[in-house]
Amino acid sequence: MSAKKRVLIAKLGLDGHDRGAKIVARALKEAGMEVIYTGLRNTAEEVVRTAVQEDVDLIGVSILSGAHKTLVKKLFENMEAENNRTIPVVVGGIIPKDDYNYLKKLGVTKIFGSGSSIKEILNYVEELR
Amino acid sequence: MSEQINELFQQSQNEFIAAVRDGREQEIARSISLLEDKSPLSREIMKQLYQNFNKPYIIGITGPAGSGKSSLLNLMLKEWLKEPELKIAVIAVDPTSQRSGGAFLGDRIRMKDINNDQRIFIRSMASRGKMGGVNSAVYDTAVIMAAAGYEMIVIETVGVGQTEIDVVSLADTTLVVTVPEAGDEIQIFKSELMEVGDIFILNKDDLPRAAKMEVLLKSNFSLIETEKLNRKNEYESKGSWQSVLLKTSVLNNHGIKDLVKAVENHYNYLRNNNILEQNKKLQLKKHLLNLLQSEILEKIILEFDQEDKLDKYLRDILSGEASPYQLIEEFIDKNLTIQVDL
Repeated sequence: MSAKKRVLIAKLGLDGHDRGAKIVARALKEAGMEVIYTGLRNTAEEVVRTAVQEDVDLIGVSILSGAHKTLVKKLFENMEAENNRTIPVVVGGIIPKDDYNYLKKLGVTKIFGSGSSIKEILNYVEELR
Repeated sequence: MSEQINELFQQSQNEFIAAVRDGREQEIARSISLLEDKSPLSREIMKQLYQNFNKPYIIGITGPAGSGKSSLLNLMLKEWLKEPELKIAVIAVDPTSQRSGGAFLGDRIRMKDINNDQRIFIRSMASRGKMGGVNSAVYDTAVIMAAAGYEMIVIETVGVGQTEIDVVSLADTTLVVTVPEAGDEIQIFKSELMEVGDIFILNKDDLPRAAKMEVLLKSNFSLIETEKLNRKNEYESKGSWQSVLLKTSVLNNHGIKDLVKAVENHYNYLRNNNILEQNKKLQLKKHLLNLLQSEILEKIILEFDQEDKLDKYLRDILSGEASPYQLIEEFIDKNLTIQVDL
């Protein structure tokens, strides 16, 4: 039996818009992956610890609050502190194009802004590793 | 050269095992994944972890989907954490979709109050294969967690099928959660859940039908107790424990302290009567049988389910040349010969 892909989908920070995260989680499940879904209002610390305990291959965070720069920075700080294996991070939600570079410099491997198609996301995740 | 590689491998493996025993979450998590993926590395890891095998105290919690198992567990964990230094691990099993092979693992959402505590380790697990393999994966995950210093392990499963009931049978204390809208008397009669519980929980007792359900459960209860007395041997592991029914409401945070107390009572009962020790052997026996069963099934089905071969079988049956029984018998005779010395 080959290794199953495990993905963590989480809402980071305080916004309550989880439709997008839920749809992505469902799509990944239906593509045959194991999706750990932690729902609304997770701190960066919680996301990293969950990712470690669940041994996921990818962390997907959804942010629609506009606080993505601060939150994603915290996420990577926590990851460095707790973990010596770097887990790829993708960000989805409402992210202005101007901020893409900043997030990528932090270590985000891919950003799926509004208008991204499910197919695009699936292709990306399936090709990981 | 290969000797050197072997040595290097051995060394990093020893470091890895030491990290697991030291309770490092990353290595614990990794060894669980290797186990789930049936990696050959996992065999080596498990071999070492079994060498000084600490049996943890295992609590099983089961019940229908949406009955509040994870939410109850969240509140119970909060109580248990008041015990200083107690380390608790949770294995939350959710079903794998047979169609896509994927799984939506969402139990952690309900455990937000405690998931930041350093003494808690939560692992979500999908049931994966069709062949009952989840039971052995759950048991070995418990072995890994125990080696990492977790003294109490909670296994949570949705109590719908045989597999889930079997998972629970690996537990020392079994909690069965039900809710007022779980159905009428007939549903209770049908449910095998009623036979496996040490502690029954009527959750959501804030709902209007709660009192009626309580009466139904209690009347069904006495029958089970009589049954247990009649078939004492089969219930050996349960001993003379009198099952209890408790009412809880997560919404009102009601009944949780009583529930925690009931679990403690059951634990003390098991310990004082030496049943924990007996359970160790019984659970290991179940684990061995589960392992054997899933390994054999996997091998046999792999052999059977080869496209051209299977296609010929199907054509033979459809054309009336052979019956399913005949083909299966032939297949087994050809592929599965066990020498039995009498």
